Order: sequence, then C-alpha cells, then structure tokens
Amino acid sequence: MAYATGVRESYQKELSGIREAGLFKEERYIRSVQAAEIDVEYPAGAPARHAINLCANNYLGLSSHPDVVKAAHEGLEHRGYGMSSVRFICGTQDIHRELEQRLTTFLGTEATLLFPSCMDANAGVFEAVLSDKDVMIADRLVHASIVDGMRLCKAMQDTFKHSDMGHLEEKLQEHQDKRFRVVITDGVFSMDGDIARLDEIVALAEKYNAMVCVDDSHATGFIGKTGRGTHEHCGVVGKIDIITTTLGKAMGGASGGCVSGRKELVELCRQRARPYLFSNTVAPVIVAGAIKVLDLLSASTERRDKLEWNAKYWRTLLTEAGFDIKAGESPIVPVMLYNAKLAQDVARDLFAEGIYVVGFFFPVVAKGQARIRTQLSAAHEKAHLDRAIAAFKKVGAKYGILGKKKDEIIQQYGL
Amino acid sequence: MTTKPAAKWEQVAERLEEDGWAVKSEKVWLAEARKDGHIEQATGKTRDEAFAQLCQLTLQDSCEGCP
Repeated sequence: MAYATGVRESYQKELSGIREAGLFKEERYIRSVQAAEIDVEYPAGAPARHAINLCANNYLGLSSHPDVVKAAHEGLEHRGYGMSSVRFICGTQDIHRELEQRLTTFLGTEATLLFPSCMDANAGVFEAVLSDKDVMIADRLVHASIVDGMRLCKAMQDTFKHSDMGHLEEKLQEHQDKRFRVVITDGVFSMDGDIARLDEIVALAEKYNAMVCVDDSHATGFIGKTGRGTHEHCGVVGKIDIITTTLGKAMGGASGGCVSGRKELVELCRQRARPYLFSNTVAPVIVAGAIKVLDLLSASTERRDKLEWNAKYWRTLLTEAGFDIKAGESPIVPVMLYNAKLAQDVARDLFAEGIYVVGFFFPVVAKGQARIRTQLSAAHEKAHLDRAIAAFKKVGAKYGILGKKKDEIIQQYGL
Repeated sequence: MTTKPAAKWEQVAERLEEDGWAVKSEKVWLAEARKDGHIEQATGKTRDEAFAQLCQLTLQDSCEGCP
C-alpha cells in the first residue's frame, strides 16, 4: 500500500492534533554564528531580526570562539571530514584517544569513552553495565535521555522524589536485596537550574553500598571552582562512579558526549553499549575543537568566573524587577509564569523587543509550571543583560506580572 | 496408545532449548495505564509488584523535560 491516502490522512490528523493542543514545535532559523547576539528569521520567511540570545546552552561562549574554530579547521585539514566507520572497526584516530584521556583528567575519573551525543551515552550506559538483578533509582526530574536509557535496561526501575534525600534513603533500604544499586541524577537540572545534592547522595550511596551516576551536561566546564562539574562543586571528585556529559553545550557546543568513570564500567560500555557500537565515530573536526576547548579551560577559569558573575547579576536584575524566578546558583534562570499562553505571549513580545527566549510549558515542564528559561553565557556582557532587563521590565509591566507572586499570577491568568 | 502432539508453545520452547536457551514460563499480572494515546504496561509476580512498576513508568512520563 506504500503511503496510501488513508495513511497520509492519519498522520496529518495526528499532526493537526499536536497543533491544536498548542504543542507544535517550530524551528527558528538563525542566520549567524551562535553568539550572545544573533540574527533570527522568525517566523519563517520574515526578515532576520537581530536579538540578544538568552536561550542557548553556550554557557562558556565557546561555540564560535576563534581558537576553537581554528583548531577545528586544523582538525579538518589533518584528520579529514569523516571516518566512515564506527569506532571499533576503523573509526578511532589518535585524537579520539587523546580527547578521551584529556576528559578523564579534566573530570577526575579513571577512564572515558566518547559517544555521538550524551543522549546516546545515557541510552547505552545502563544496559551495558546492569542486569535484571540490579536496580536503578533515579531522581524524578532526570533528563529524558536517562529515562530512555533506563527503559532500555533490564534492571528494575525506581525513582525518588526530586532532591529528597529521605526518600532516596528509603529506596536504598528497600532495595538491599538487589545485586547492584545505582543512584541516578542530573548534576544541574535542566528545567529548574538547581544543583543535585551530590555530597549527600554520595554519603547515602556509601552507607547503602550503591553506585552513583550523574548526567553533568548542564555543568561540565563551568560548575565548580575550576569548572570540573557538579562533583567538584559538591566536593566529591573521584567518588562518582559514572559521569555522562556532553560536548554539545559549554564544551564548544558542536556535538558528542561521553561516559566517564570507573574503568571497568567504561570498558563494558566499549564492549556493549549499542549507541557506541552501532553509531559513527565523533567527527575529527569536533574532536579537534573539543581538545582546544579543554586547553582553554585548563589554562584559565576566566570564562566560568565571568559566567558565574553574569548569572548572579542576571538573577539580581530579575529579582529587583519583580519577576518570580527559581532560586539557585546555576546559569539556568527560569522566569516563572505558570500559564502556558502567558509564557508564549511574553516570549513573543520579548522577541519583538530584540530578546530571544522561548516559553516552556507542559509537557516539557510539569503542568502549571510554564516559564521562560533564560540561560546565561560568558559571551554576554553586562550591557547585554542591562538591555535584556529593560525589555523584560517593559513586557512584564504590559502583562502586569511585576512584583506578583505565584498565586497572584495564577489568579490573574489561570493555569 | 496415542501420544498427544506437542502444543505450539512447547514446540517453540523446544526449538529455543535446542538453540541453547534456558526456557521457562510463568503466569504474571499485567498492569496497564493509558492516557492521551500513550500506553504504559508493567508485569509482576503479584498485582502489587506490577502496579508498583507501572507507577514508576508513569512517573517518568509526567513531563518530557527541557533539552
């Protein structure tokens, strides 16, 4: 029947349903490099608008850094465009080995294995190292890719209430009959920007003989005094058994991810993790760029220090302006609006003011938790944030939300 | 005396054993939850076990999360 009329109509109906529910995701076309200021074509076909970018994962501003671009060019020149192979056939170059060794040193672990993305790392790691005799106990707000990875694994799945150490302890006690227990958490949670209580998690894991796995994608490169990540911030370097993280955010922002941790677990991933075994190797150009990123981060903490300052300054500006924000220390600063339509309207009006942000609402965040997730970058200058807050104040005043608490916003706009 | 022919499942089990699989089957509870066209299913030796696992699966679906 190939693609008969009925099949097409069925899919069209499904897409219409997504549109009608207000959940249709539209791409915005960026006509510049990724930076603090970008040119955005939105809606499609409209003239590009120059805007301050407050929604990229470009935390360290390295996505278009001249040294990284130059290193990538050199990688392209000396190691080519692609490898046309998975790693274990003929897709591993000397620079892949070098990057893995550099990441191991940077993260303070025993070994590292590159994956095409952190999504792939999370999809592959659990199945590779756990069996049906084991249990995975995950924070309820872990990233979607961890949920997918857990579903691909035969070990029992369990969860604990977000950052609730009492509940985690109950779960660890409950699962003492299992062969291995693994506590799984994000380092910095992407929705709320809060930081996992890794020191307490490690203490509980030691007490109840469990391993700890952290997805540090929103932390690697800038959280902790020297940017090693959440484990450095919480004083538990060397005590995390599995770290998964990405090169696609602070670390240059291209693509690629890794599993880093205990050498036996990493080696099992090399032998068994399906996204590693059956996906192409990370392209040489990206590997060369990522090695340069590590050079830059090892030479100076200037960028993560500036990011820290920017995040504090932005949080202060929003708070003083009367916005309801999620408290925290990370450069993810959610501006809470609760109502999905309000989040979309505010984002649209901010774009008209030259500020590029996106409204997030269910099912991306929980129902009644709609927001604009702002993300800071070391590429932002104080002047960017001053311009941005002026626009936020103008739009916030238009919707009458400045100085309003959660209940008042909900009363005004509903959920 | 006539021997009863093996049931289909017995033939499959036999084939699998010939291939080196250790085979067993047992009755389990199947718990299912449906919402907005989404289906979650879990099995367990007891109803409690099946629903506990089903609950975990639905909790993980409560929201997609930010990229």
